[in-house]
Amino acid sequence: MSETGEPATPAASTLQRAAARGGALRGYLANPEGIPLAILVLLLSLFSILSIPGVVQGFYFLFDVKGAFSLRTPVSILNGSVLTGIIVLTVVMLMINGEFDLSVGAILAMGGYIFGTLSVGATTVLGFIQIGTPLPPLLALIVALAGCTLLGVVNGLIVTTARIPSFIATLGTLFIFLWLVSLYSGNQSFEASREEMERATLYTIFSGRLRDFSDGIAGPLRNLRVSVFWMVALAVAMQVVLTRTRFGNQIYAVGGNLQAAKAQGINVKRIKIAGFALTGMFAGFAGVVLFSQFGRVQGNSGMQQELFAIAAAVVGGTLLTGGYGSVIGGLVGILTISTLRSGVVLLSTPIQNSFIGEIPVIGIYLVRLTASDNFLTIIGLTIVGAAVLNSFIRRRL
Amino acid sequence: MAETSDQTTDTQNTDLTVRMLGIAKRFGTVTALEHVDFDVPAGRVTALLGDNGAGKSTLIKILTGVYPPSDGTIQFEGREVSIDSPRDARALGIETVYQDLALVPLMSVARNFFLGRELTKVFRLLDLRRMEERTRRALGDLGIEKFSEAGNRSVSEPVGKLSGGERQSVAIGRAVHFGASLLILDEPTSALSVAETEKVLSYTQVAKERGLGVIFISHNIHHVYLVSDRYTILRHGRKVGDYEKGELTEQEIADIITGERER
Repeated sequence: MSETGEPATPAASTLQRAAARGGALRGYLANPEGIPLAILVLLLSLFSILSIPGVVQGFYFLFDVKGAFSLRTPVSILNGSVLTGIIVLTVVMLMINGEFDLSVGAILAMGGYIFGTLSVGATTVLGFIQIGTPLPPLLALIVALAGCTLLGVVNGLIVTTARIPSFIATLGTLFIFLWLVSLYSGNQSFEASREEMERATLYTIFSGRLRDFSDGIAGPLRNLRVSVFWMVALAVAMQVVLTRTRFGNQIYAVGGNLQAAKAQGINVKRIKIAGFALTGMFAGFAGVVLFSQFGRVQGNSGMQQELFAIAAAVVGGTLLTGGYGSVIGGLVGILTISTLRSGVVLLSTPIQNSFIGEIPVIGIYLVRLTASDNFLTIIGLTIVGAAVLNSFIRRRL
Repeated sequence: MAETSDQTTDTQNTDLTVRMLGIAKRFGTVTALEHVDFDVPAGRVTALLGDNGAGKSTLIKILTGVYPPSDGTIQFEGREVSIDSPRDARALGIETVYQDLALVPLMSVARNFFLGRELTKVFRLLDLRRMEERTRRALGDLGIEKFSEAGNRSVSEPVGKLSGGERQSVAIGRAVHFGASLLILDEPTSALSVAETEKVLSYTQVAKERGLGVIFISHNIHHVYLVSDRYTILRHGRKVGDYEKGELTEQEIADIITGERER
């Protein structure tokens, strides 16, 4: 990963020592993202094997109806992970720093509205939308990101100056920001017309599909959204910031031992406010991607994003107590959740089919149990499982 | 730091790292300290002794900028200073090593060593290789061999994996390496094994030989007796006296602390 050979996070430095003692596996597991990544690979392998033609009739994960290899489902998993995937990057950073941000969903909606209205040329006064001259899309992007960063700064200031837990502070600002969104939007969704969407290339740059860029790509990969690449690029950038810069080092230190960080002269307030500001900016960018993708934004566009992001962070090995975690792990976490969601939804039909008719009563129960809207339950089980597993492994290492 | 510029400081005090004069501290109606004079000479280990409630920690908290004194003055390396915050104390070169409070357990030894003073290279990225090399060398200079190439510990290991004594050695090594002029050891041996205690005590001697003023606070009179050159004993917020090494036996020190014996 680097010329020094130090692994991805400060906490993970055991890798070298453990490997030197012949415990390469132990060393790998000491990485915060080690176990989550192994679980994701196992899960993908399991679903892939189950979908091999003839194994589970009617389950199409890596193969289509005709029994041919198809990336359709993996592509849709990636596309569906993007919004939370962008948000989780900074949510992980905040959790390492010992803080939470529950207001990201509201900030996402705000980012979507600001970017949407300005880039289309609409101005809103308490929701009365007037169409004027569109701002250059790049300028609309900058204004949207600046506005959302400011909301993040507000979060940071409340947490650091009023000294209340961020869990409570941002629960409050979630509703306050939602109120700001409804003031801005007049409680109405905002939608761009097809022509407007086609006019600005920025939308395509943020959330177009590969087929918009090249005709040479065949198969389901044509439908992969470029926002996936944005998500991955931002993840790599955040990983570098957290593990290879002074700012990142101090984020870990403040979350790991506040008193020690203070004693070494670290400006804790500044670090925390910067963390919240960055989180606001990333949530705003998720809103920009959302609008670029759907050409539409509404007040509840970011609903529950904060919970999915925290869930993904935990599944990805980040500790709720601070000082330990990984951005790459967060990304692995959201991909795990999305994979489970798709896999379970796709599996529910063949499972139901195989029982219905034989034993009617069990069939009905199975329909209930595996109904596709049960995926939230699956996520819940995953979170609890991941948290238990993480703390178990960490105690053993 | 509001520093009262006093060019006419008498020069005989310059071999003192710290001179606290007439320090008093009152919390409401409670008097924690009453007219205490406390000298810490450079290059010597000064033990600060007293029973619980004698005022040791209040005096140290005044010195490290946690509390302002109600009365009295502080001279640091011959100049009168006012220490209004822990940040001020640190800027003067006052480093405190507390049990378990100084390091971040989940971060590597090298990252802890350079915490707040991280080395960077191009694009302002952390220069981990240089940080690790310098940590290894600095700890080696202090006689801490465990982290050398041949040792059984690595500077890239998280501090949480180290023993209590190893942690103390890292914290002391850091203070000495970054040019502290006063090292305060607050109960440094309270949770250590016998072997580790000996090591930590030996590092205090290295710090002393480097010319630092060292304040050693401990309940363990045996440890105090082993490493200290001078003793300042407090009782009920007042100073009982200053003693040179050899002037008192261990038993006499204990008797003065408890009040069995007056001076």
